[in-house]
Amino acid sequence: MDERIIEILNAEKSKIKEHINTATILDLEKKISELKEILDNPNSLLNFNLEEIKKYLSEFEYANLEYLKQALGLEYFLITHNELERIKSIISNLLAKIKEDYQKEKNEIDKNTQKVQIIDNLLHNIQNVYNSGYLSSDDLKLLVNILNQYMDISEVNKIIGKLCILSINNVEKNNEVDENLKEEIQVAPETNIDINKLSEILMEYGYDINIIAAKNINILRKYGVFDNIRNILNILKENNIVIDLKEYQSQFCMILAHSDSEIVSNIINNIKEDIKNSKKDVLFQDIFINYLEYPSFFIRNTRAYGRRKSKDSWNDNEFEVGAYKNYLENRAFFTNLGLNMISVIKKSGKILLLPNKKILDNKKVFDTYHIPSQIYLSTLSCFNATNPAEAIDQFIELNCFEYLLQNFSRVIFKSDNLVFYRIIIANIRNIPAFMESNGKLKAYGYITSPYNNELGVSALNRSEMVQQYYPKEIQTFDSFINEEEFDNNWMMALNNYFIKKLDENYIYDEFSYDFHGVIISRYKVLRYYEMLIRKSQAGTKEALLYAICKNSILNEDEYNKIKICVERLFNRGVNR
Amino acid sequence: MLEFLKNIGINDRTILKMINENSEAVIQDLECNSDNAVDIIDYLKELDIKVIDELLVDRIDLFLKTKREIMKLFSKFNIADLVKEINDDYFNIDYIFEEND
Repeated sequence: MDERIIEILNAEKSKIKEHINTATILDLEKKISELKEILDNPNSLLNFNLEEIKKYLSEFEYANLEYLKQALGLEYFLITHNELERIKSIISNLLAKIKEDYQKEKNEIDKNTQKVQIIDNLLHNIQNVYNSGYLSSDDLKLLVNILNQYMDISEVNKIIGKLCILSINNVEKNNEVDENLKEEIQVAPETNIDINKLSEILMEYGYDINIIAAKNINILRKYGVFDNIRNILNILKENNIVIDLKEYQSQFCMILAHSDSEIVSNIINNIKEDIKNSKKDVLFQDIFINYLEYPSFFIRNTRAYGRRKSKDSWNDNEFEVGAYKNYLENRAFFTNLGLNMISVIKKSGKILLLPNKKILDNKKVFDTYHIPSQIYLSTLSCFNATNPAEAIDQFIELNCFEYLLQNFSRVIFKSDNLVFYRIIIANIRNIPAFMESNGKLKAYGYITSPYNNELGVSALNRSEMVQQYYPKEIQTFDSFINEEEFDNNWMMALNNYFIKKLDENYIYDEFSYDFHGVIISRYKVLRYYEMLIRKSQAGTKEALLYAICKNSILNEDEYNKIKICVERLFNRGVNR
Repeated sequence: MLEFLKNIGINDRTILKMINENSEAVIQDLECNSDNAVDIIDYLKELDIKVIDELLVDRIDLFLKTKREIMKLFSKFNIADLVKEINDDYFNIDYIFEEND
């Protein structure tokens, strides 16, 4: 690892540690304990040094205590009940003030300790990058923030670039190993066919090998089988398909090398059927070209068409991924929903490559949130979303659900998308975030544009701009949530006492809670609380707060409003 | 993987995002269409489209086409207006497919 990164991160840690001053908090702890003793036994005021607490008292209170302390020391002076009560009352006020200071100090220490911990984790993750680990976007963001203080931007970019490449390679390697465990690998034997014979066959069907680049011919020579190539070319010819080698030679060679006549024939027949079922006036050749843009449709789902070098590693370009199975399953799925496959391939063919499970899972989420099917079926890119529920929650909490419904492709947003932060800033500054254009709700350019740091919000400062508050409770439970794949069943949460109480007291509508003006997605709370129940982590104030605040962009004031509501539920001393 | 994009100045962060946000199959299909994809990127740059990184991540299928096809899709619009709309909100690239339907 780059020694400079370690040096900088350690320097940053030391800087933060300097602010962790435990002396004050120990002193306050001592005072609190002494004052509690005075409350129990006012006579102990005699041994207490009033000078130390002078700053917390009014002149009158101080003089009063000093007088009483002296009186306690006089044998002949009898302290009355009222005087004892006065001591108790002053001490009790004092105690509250000191406790407040203590809490402030403690929060500061906790915050800094947490920062040190985060940097320690970052150091650990960076070291791991050199040993099959990878850095998350949060790690990279934090690293950029820190490095920017110590070196110029070009150096920072160089370091981040290097770490990104290492991360990419490790992510790829890990994915391959995972996939390899799940799927049977079909290794395509190297055939090394004769180039002259290949040239003759291609010429026979009207294709000039001299137009094809060497890298593409090599694929064909290495993995092609004459009979298979001839069969595929026959099918194309029978269907009057002529492929323009100037534009699609890579795809053409990929299909000849890795597909077979059965798959090509099936896809052609499906296209014909789709055209027949479609009311659109389209040319078969044009639609076939759309399919040709995705050669993986023509390859079976088994992976690997190269020789494996070692047990755990594939080099780039040594394998091909097939998506024929995904294509068949997704075609059946969308056709059953009444969708026109011609529109699908023209608008968003890549969704047909996705695992069918991902499409089904996303549909389940859309249905759960009562998104009308005509909305998601007319915005097919929404099926690419990796966590649509998170985006929907955010739009609900920012009161922009209608905008989402009219612009449903935005459901692919991550919960920390800049757009969400800019909407908050626009609201704070009383600037409109949305406008109506041709009867449709649209966001202004300063909300959606990814460049120019519109409204002063950038990837690096978004949290600061809205004074986002990250309570400690939120981070503690993340590890339990991250390992859980949710199945959209929140029955246990729905029957949970605290959720029922939330519903009774704070429900705004089916989709949201209203905590004294702070709107929170109800389904988000149900989802995360259900996951915590399953992990035996529910039942505490912190767990409920976590489920409520997870991913929400809240400032400290809003967080405290929620906290008060949750504490109220827990302070009722109920039986669960 | 996606070396051809690095060679034309697309940064590693964008490439990492592309790999994370898209299926392995579509990444492979893009590799297969690398020459056309480079032409399309050049064309979008000529039009002064500034959100190419975002389009590569979220609208990767745009780059599976040919430059000719993309020019045809753009030609149905007032290009200056469309470019402004796309730069303001890159999801507006979807207009070219809607009109094509």
